[in-house]
Amino acid sequence: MRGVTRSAPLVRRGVRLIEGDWPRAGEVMVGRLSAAKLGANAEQIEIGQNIEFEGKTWTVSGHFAAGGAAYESEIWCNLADFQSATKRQDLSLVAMLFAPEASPAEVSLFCKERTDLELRAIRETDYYGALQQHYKPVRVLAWFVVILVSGAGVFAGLNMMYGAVAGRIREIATLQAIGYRRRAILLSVIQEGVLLAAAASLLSGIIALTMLNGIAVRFTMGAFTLRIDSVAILVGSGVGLLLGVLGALPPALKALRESVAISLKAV
Amino acid sequence: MKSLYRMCVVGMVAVFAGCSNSDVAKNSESTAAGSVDLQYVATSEPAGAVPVGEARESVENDETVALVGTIGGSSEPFIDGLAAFTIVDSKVPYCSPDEGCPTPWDYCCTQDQVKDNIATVKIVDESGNPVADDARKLLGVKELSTVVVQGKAKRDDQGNLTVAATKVFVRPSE
Repeated sequence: MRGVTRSAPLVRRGVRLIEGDWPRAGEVMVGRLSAAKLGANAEQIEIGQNIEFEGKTWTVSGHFAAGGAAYESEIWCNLADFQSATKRQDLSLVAMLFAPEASPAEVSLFCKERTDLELRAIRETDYYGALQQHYKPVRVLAWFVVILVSGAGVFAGLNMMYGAVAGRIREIATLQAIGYRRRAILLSVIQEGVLLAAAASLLSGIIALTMLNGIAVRFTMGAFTLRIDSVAILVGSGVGLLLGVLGALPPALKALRESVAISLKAV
Repeated sequence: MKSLYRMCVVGMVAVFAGCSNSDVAKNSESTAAGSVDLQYVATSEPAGAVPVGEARESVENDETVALVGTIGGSSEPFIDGLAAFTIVDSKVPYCSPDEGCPTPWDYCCTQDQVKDNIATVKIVDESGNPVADDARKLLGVKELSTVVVQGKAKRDDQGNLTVAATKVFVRPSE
């Protein structure tokens, strides 16, 4: 929730009013991801709907987008209205946009001169840099979970391919008995594995694109959208195909190494 | 006898090496001192400098003052891009080195005393504009350096004190 002045879009240039109007007294405009952040349905923050906070009812006047920025999950209202509702007169943040020739050091000096106030000037990049540093352990943990889940997926895939080929030892032995060369059989088994893996990769890509792409995920500071882009699809399909080759190769080699007579008797 | 002679030679080499090292150190100090801008650095301490706490009570707006204080007051007392910093009255204690505080100049344990004993110093040129340079390079100072600044005081209704300094004397560290 943020109280802003009408000049806010001059500083937050990524903000676009995509629907409705700028909020007047008693009104709010909501960010595209605010429903995800609030854990609410999109219908609950439609234009004309009422939201209650700070003991006051606010009407949604519009929706805004901010190109995936953190404030896209915020609700904005008139600053004076917000100060009156929260019974606070202080400002927690003043955002400034400098002309190319201006120096942010002047603002730092102003903050240092006002020793009666607890003011601190910080560049937005430094602020988010510090946050990134703060959340580094969480990021490391997230990557660890990704590696664990991917590892489990790879082993499950290898196991499945191994089982699929191991169950066909008699068939492979029969092919050898009727005159097919080992290399041709191996190539055929790998081709089957790759075909299966390609189909599975395609299917999972379609599921990711249709069911996961654009989903809003809530976190402490706001919300963000999952974006399944071409690189993600490419990496996923690549790993899938690799799995097809690596999964088919060891059991096929094992089956071909056995003598035809023994393999034909295999259960 | 030979071994005694060798020991003497090694000892003399060590003594000369030691002397040579101290000469190098002296040269680097003088180089560092020479790198400061003498336009803003005073070579002698101005007389009648008042501590920051006293100045906050007595100094009027636009009065020419000489103020003495220790650079600090927050974790980052210097301003990047401008020759400006905050100074605190030397009577306000800060963490001693044996306490292991990484930033003793932020006066973390005595912040309540800092409020009434702090002033901002900005180095200004002839036209009165702040000098766009790092004060550490310009004056050869660092956090917890004791400085005597000379310039014009600026007061506001909230009691804040800023000195537009034209000369700074850096007291040698004890």
